[in-house]
Amino acid sequence: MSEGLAPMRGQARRRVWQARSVPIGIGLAAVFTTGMSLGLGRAFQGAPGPIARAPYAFGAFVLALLLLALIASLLRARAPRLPGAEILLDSDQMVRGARVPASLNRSAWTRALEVGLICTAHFDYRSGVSASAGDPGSGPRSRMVGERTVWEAWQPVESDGSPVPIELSIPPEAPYSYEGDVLSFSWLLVARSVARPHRCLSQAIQVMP
Amino acid sequence: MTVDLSLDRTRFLTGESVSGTITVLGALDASVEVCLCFVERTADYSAVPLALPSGRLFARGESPMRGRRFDIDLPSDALPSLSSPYGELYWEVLVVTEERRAQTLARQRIDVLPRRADELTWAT
Repeated sequence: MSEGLAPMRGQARRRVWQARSVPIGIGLAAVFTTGMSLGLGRAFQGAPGPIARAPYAFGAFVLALLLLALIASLLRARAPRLPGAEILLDSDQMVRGARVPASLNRSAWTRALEVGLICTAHFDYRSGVSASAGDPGSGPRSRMVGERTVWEAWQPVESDGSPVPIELSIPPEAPYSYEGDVLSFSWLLVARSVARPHRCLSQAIQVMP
Repeated sequence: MTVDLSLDRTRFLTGESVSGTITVLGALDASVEVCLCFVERTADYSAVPLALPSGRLFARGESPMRGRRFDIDLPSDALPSLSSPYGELYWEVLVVTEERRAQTLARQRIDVLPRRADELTWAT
C-alpha cells in the first residue's frame, strides 16, 4: 500500500526497544559500576595500599564480566548458530499458495536437520495488574507487544552434502507479511538441528497477499 | 440526526469501487462525509493506518430530502481482509461528521479479497 500503509513506526519501535533492553541494561550497569568504584576509591584514598586499590580492582572485575555478557548477547543475536548449513533463497518475496523457492546446503558431517516455515504475529495488548482480587481490571496497565506463532510447518532434511530443495509451501489462507501499528505478521524460513533445536539458522521472507 | 448507510455490496476485489447510499433522517447539525478505512485490531487496541474520504456529502444546516450516493475506489494494492486469533486486518466504511472531533454516525465492515484468487474463502 503506497499511501500510508508503509511500515508503521509504533509497534516496530516498541519491539526494537524490548530487544535492546538487555544491552541497554548492561550499559547502565557498567556506568553504575564505574561510578561506584570511582567513588569508593576516592573514599578509601587514605587507606593502606591493598584496601585503597580494592574498589578499583572490584570495579574492573565487574566491568570485565559486563563486557563479556555484552559480547555474548551480541553474538547470540547476530551469528548463525548452525555451522555447516546454509539456506539458499532464490527470492525473498513470494505469494501465498506458492512453494518456497529455496534449498538447504549442508555439509555431510552436520547432524540431522529440519527446515521450517514460521509465521509470527506481534500484537499489542494491555498488561493489567490487578489492584484487588475482586476487580482484575482496576490496577495500572501498560502497553506490551505479544509474540505468538500463527502457523508453522517442518520438513526433515537428509543429505550427503548436496543442496536439498525445500518442499514447503505457504498456505493460501495464511497471513501475509505486514508491519502495522498494533498488529504485525512476519515470516521466517528456519533450519535447525533435530537434536538441539536451539541451534538454528533463519532467513526472513516477505509473503505478499 | 440519524444516518442510514446502505452499501451496494459488501465483498470487493482490490481496486474495485465501494459504493452506496447515505440517508440522513432529521435535521443536519454537522456536515457529513464517508470514509473508507483500513483497520488493524487486536483484543485491546486498534489503529487506522489509512483513511480514504469521499468528500462532503451533506453540508451543515442542509435539509436533505433524499439519500446521496458515494463512490470510493479501493487502492489497486489494497491489502485483503485477514483474521487471526491475535488480531485482524479489515476494511470498513464509516459515516462521520466533518468536525474537528469527528463523530462516527454509522459503520459497516466489508470483505476485500485479493484479485488473483477471489474465490478463496480464507477471510473469516
